[in-house]
Amino acid sequence: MIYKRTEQVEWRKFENESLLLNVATGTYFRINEVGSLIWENLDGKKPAEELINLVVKHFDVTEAVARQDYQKFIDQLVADNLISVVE
Amino acid sequence: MSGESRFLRTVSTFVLRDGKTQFGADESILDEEKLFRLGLYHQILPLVGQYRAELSKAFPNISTDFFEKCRKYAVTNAGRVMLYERFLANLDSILAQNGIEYRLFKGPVLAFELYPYPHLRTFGDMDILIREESLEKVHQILKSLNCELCDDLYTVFPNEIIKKYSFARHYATVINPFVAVDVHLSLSGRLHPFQFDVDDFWINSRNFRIGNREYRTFDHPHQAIYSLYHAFKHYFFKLIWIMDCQRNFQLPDFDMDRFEHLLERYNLSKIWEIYKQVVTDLQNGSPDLPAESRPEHRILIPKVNTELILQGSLPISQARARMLLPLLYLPKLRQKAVYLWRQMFPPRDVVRDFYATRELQPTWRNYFSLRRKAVFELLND
Repeated sequence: MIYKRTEQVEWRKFENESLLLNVATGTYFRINEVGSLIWENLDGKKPAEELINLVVKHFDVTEAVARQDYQKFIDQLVADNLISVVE
Repeated sequence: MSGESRFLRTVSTFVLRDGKTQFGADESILDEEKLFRLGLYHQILPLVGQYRAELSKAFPNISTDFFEKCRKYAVTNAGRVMLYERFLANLDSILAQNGIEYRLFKGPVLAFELYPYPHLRTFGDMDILIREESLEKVHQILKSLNCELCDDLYTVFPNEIIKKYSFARHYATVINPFVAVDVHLSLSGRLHPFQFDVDDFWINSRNFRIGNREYRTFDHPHQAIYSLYHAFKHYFFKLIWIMDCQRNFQLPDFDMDRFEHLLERYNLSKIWEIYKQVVTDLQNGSPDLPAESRPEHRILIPKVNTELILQGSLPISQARARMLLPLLYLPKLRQKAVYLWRQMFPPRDVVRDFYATRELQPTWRNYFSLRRKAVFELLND
């Protein structure tokens, strides 16, 4: 699956974290370093495998751990309407 | 001087020198809960988070948990800044469409201009100065943005009284996102002895960028004068306000001559002297607390004392400080007497009780009864 950030979200990076503001609801979310890396790359072009490999490379974790973190994060972003499916 | 005070002074010094300073290690064991409370009170937690690397060297016995808590506070504040930025852009657009001019000032301007990142300077609301004739329209616009007039001191007054005495109006959104807007018709109410010329501030304004939009705000000398007045009005009791003042003066090409001219024009020279002493005390350490600051000595208007400011423990209530501090800077005895008289016996049409309690008739008898009660409460505050 390929996802991209929805237009109703503004975001800023702060050191190793990111802040996402859902403009429609006025709620904002703080995401950690791993989440920030994934979020920055949700540009509607990179498939899941590529993002998981990025996490493995940056954080020196196993593929299983990276995959689990990735999926958990994506599920949360979908639930909060912060990303949409491209294909 | 307590360890907590030393810590706060150190933070102030880092902020005023943009972190370009070094301190020897202070091995004190500090009460971190108290420190966090004081940091919250003085609105400097995001700054503590920002300078945590340097501060942890200066105070090696403060835990990393404490600094992490401050850092997280800063990041959360960043979310609030994003909300305000978005709201402000929307409000600006609607006001422009309606041909309404305004000046943005205080919190957001200071946060974006005076600090390395806007989220380092917390602000509880945004302030706009408007012209009297725009009041009703601005009220409608804010209502359309889900902002309701808050139940504060001035809600009960009708618009003609709001305009007559230039009271501020405080709005807040009732649903997410939470933002608060203070709408001002002047920079000090008409009952205040100290009057800014609104036209002077209005004309001497400049463009200021937040994100990809430009807003009108006061020029730097006027911004600095207002910051100084605002801090003094509240007895300088928050470190962030002292830092705001200093950082104003540190702006490149700050026109000190114009600022000094404004000090004279607005009769703030005495306040300026008090402010300079506070800043000197902050950086060099203030004298021991004077005897009259101890609770057993009740005095009407104690001197401004930096150590008391740091400890967040004023010898008088904030309400009393706000009401009585002008007595410190009004130069002539006659002006002090007139001011005091007006505080004790304000015009009948500004006595809130007559609007809040419909059954209470605005007779002279009721008026003096209310004033006697208010004066008694003030003196026993």
